[in-house]
Amino acid sequence: MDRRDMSQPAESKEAIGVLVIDDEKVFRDTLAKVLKRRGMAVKITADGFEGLALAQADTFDVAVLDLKMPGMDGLTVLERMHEICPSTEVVVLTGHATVEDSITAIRQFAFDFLFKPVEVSWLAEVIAAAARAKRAKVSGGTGGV
Amino acid sequence: MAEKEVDRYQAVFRSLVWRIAAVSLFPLLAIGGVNFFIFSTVNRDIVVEHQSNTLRHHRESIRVFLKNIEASVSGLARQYSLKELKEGNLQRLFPVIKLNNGIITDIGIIDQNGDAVLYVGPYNLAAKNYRATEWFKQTVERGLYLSDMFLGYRHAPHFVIAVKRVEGDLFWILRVTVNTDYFSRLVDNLHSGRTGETFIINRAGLYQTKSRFANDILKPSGYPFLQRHPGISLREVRWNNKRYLCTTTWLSHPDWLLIYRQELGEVYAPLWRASAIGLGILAIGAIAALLLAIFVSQRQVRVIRQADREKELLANELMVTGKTAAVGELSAGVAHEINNPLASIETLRVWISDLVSQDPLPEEDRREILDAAQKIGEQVERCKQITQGLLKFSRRVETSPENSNVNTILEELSTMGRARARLENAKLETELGAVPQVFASPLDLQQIFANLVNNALDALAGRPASKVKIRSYENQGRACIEISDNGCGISEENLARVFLPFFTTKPVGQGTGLGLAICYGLVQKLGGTITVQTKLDAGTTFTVSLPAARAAGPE
Repeated sequence: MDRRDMSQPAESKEAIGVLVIDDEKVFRDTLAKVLKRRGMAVKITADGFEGLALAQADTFDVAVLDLKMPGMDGLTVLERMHEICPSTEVVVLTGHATVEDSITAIRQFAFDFLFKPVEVSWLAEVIAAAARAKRAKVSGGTGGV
Repeated sequence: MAEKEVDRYQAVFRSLVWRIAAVSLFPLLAIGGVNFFIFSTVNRDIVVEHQSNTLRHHRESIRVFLKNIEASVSGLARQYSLKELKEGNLQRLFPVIKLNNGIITDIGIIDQNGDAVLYVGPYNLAAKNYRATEWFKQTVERGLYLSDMFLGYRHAPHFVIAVKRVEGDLFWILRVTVNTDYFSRLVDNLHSGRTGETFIINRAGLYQTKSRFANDILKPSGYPFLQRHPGISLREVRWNNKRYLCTTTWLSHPDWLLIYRQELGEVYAPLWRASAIGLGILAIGAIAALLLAIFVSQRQVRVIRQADREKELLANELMVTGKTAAVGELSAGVAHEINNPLASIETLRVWISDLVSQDPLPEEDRREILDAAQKIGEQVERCKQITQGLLKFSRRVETSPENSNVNTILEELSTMGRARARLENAKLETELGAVPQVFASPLDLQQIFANLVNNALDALAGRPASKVKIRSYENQGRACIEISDNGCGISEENLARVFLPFFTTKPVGQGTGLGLAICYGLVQKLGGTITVQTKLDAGTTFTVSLPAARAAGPE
């Protein structure tokens, strides 16, 4: 995991914008509070459709995406997200991890693939790293993934 | 069912016995039959050969005997004149001839008028006239004559050998009578065994000699085949209600038929004996073959029975494996389900830590902490329910059948199923109605429905708006359980095979192909039925109908 520089804090002036898409209410709410406390700007939704709508309206640095949700499937959301706002990095976070899902997710440009239950500090670090990658990509124009 | 099994084994046993017996008996019988045929033919040939030769020799000796007498008589007649014979030569000669083992009974001379002019013998026949007799006429005509048997003046059966001697203008006849007893003995010299005898009949079928057992001279013999035939003839003849082998040959002069006859039974006694021995051996062989067939078949059936029993054991083992597979498949979803509350707990933990780290703890954050703690409690409760359900479900052990409520099992199953359904992005609905109790082990019920629910979930495989529905209801006093899905359906060609063991449409390594076979077996065991309705690309419904438990329960 040393491929990314995860030194904190992020050097940006602007707070990291995070979108959490997860159907587990308690998890989603609490995660938002925790991340906000760590200086991030967090928006939450329980639904893939709404998540896409939010992502279109606002530009997030990172989206935290659950794969198994009622309504739109997480992998579909991931795919659409890449189309709508390709710069936003997506961190997939799921409790029903299968090898097939993780491979598909990475192929569809997910930044990382994490399993529930995840250590929140680790999740925060991954989000920060993703944000840095996203910002580097946007400002540099080169860089790639 | 057990009876049917026994019947099956008995049928196998019987067919095996027949086959083995047929295979082993056929050559035995074939060889036996061929041997018997060859032996009997050879035996008959030998009998024929032997009888023919013997009779031929015998005929020659009789012929030689008659020729000798004929020659003696001719010689006597040629050697002496009537005058010399009258002067006492005949009396002198006769004892010599007579001494010759009593072959000749008497000897006489008859003149051309048929008057007996000289007679030497035991009878008083010196003054008889023979002009009217057959033998006299024949002798006059032929010069030498051997007569058939006749009674004559002495009123005793005899036959004569007569020669004509011409002396100047006159002739006279020298006649000897052959001793009938002697001749009969000579003829019957050829006799063998218990019933073999030889005798002579004339062309009219009258006995010419005594036979071994009767003195029937001049009586009709009843022998039907009186046509002349050359050489030796053998035939089986039904004669006086007995069956004889008759060997016959004609003597040319006189016209006599020499018959050697023996009862068939005796002729072929060696053959019958050999046949009996052969048959005995054959019978022993047949019995041995049959016993062997029975023995081999019994062993074979035992082997088959053993193999069947092992197969059954293996099937049972596979059933257990299949069950574990079904339960395992369902519970996989449940294990994942625990990850969600755990993730929440972890987040709550971090949230609490964050809040607590503030030195003067604001009142509202204190409430926030308490709220988080309570939420942790809720999440733990969620986990507990999942693990308990899982344990209850998978720890169920084999128990004897009892009155069970299908709905209880379906309830548990749907909890598991729902977790899995969530994985597949599918819904699982239940509509459990009032059902009669069924007499079954809960494990069996669980196995049946776990398999069906699993299959239903598998059939959904990433299709939109997919759902599985579990229904229970009562129909005609039976408990009916319907598990339907709106998945891929089953093609017609596969439909015929879905209940067969090891039939699966799932990718290699995923399906055991035992699920529905297990269901079928278990439902059968419980006396129920399982039916399937399906439409390709529209969905499948499996309906299990189980008989209600008797109210009083098992006796």
